[in-house]
Amino acid sequence: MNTGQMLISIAAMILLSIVIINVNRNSLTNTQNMDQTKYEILAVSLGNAVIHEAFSKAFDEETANNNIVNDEDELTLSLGHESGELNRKDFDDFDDYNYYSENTKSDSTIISADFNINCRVFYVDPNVSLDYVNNRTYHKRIEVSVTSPFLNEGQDTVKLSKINSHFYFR
Amino acid sequence: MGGKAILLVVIAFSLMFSVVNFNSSNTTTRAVENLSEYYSRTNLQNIAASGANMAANIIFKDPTWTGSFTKLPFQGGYIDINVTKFAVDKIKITSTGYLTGIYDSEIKEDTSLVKIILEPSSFSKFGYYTNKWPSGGYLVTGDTVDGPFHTQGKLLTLGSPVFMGKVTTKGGISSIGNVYGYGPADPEFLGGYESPVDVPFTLNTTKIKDAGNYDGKVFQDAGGNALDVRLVFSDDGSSIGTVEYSTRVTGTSTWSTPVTAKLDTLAPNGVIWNTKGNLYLSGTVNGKYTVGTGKSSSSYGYVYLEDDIVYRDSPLISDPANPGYTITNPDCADMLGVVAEKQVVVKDNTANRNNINIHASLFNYDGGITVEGISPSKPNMGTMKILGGLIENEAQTTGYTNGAGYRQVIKFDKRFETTTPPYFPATETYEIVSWFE
Repeated sequence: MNTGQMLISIAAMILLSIVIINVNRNSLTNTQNMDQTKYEILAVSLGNAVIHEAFSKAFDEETANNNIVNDEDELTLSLGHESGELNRKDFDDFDDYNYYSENTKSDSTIISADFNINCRVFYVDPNVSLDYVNNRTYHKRIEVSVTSPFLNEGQDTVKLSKINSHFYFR
Repeated sequence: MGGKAILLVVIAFSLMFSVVNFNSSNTTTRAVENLSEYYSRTNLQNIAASGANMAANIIFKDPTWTGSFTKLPFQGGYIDINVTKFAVDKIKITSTGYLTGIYDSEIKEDTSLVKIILEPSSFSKFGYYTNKWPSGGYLVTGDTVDGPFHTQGKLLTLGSPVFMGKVTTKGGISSIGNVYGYGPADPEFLGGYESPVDVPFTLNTTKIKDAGNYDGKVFQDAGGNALDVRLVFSDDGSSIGTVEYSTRVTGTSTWSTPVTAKLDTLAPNGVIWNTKGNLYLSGTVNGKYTVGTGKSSSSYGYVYLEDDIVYRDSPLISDPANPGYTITNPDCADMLGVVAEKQVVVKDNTANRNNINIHASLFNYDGGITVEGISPSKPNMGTMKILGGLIENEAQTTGYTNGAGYRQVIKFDKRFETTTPPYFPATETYEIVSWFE
């Protein structure tokens, strides 16, 4: 092998090394992105599952026994779970989820990242604001935020929101 | 030569790695796009459903409301809500959510639609509805109530009666047992029990009369007198049968000459209504009809059953999978609703003294089905078999424990769960019959 060939070989090796390093770096980035994507989809699903669960409950503590409320002032003034409803399984109405928070570390069915789930419930009024109003109305909005150290180093938050209203048709 | 070969090998490897790298990046990009689309569509769905919930509440508070909300901002998107009335008393709610996001690998605004149809809830969906529950009346061990049941009063049970359908009450339930040999208090609710549920007992005769005037048949005396109308349904073998009708002024004895009419020309929408007076009914029904009579005083508003009133095809057939049991006959397209502003009365005549078969949902606004002149000294008349449903203000006597009158059997026609006789009385509240999203 003469000097020229030697130089070509060295240049080739350098090129190959650069390519391998780039591919390796991209591979790591892609794997990280794929994992994060998986966790974010799981986060969206977890958040939506909590929303669905809240919708399966009564609209208000006052309607928990199939009662129909004909005056907004009869509704719960302070949104949140009632005494004795310590765990999520004990909740019987929609606004019990206000200030509910949970970490999935102890959930053996979620074996990947751990997530923090935080819920807020607000009264809203279609004629005033769908963010929140300070008075009691027949409409409540639940906002579920899901975070995780695995979602962009804890920087990303998945937020979902939906409005529940009091109605009873049969 | 060796250097060139190495260069070629390296270039080949580089190309190969580049392809791998490209594919890997592409897969990641698609995964991120899928996530974004899933997130966007979930949000979009929640936006539209939120609008539908709000609109449902407005209708719940004010069933007469129609109107719209436009561009309600929510969750980074916005909602359009529209409420319209269509057909007879039907309400359509449409809620459209708009949100800009990644859909089909493109950043664009997409929509999600939630469409709800509501209509008045028909009383015919009950196997047995009674507005009042007698204070001393008990359903006892051995009694079976078929189909959905509701009472506006308090249900009293003794021992363990069986309820085949869902039971709802406004006044709750009182169950007692271990007396009169009826065993422990253990009513069986095979379809579930719910209370308090309020289903007010109402009858709007204007609606049914309007339907009769629009495309049905309304009987009314030109002189303003109460009118007796006799209807004898007949299956003539055609797809729509015939009815023979005659009339007389209530209180007189002479009936007019009977007129035979094809039902598709007499009452295309299936409604035959006597504005004021009584109705005399019998025959074989071929098609879907609601017949009834109104009153202007306590003297009228009776539907008298002069003989069996049955469908051309029996609504029940033997279940081939379970011999001895019956199922809904898929070939039966006949359906009858009988509306009495007073009550339904079985005539005490020769035809009815050996059982009576009634295929219909019977609506008794001011009483319940009874037998003409019933008393403990009357003869045994066999079995009164109602295949349909019974809706009444208050239960009346149809037989006695000494055998006088009828032994009553009510079997719910399951077709009434999803279909109703035309313009059959409905509750004043709506029910959701379709929720599309």
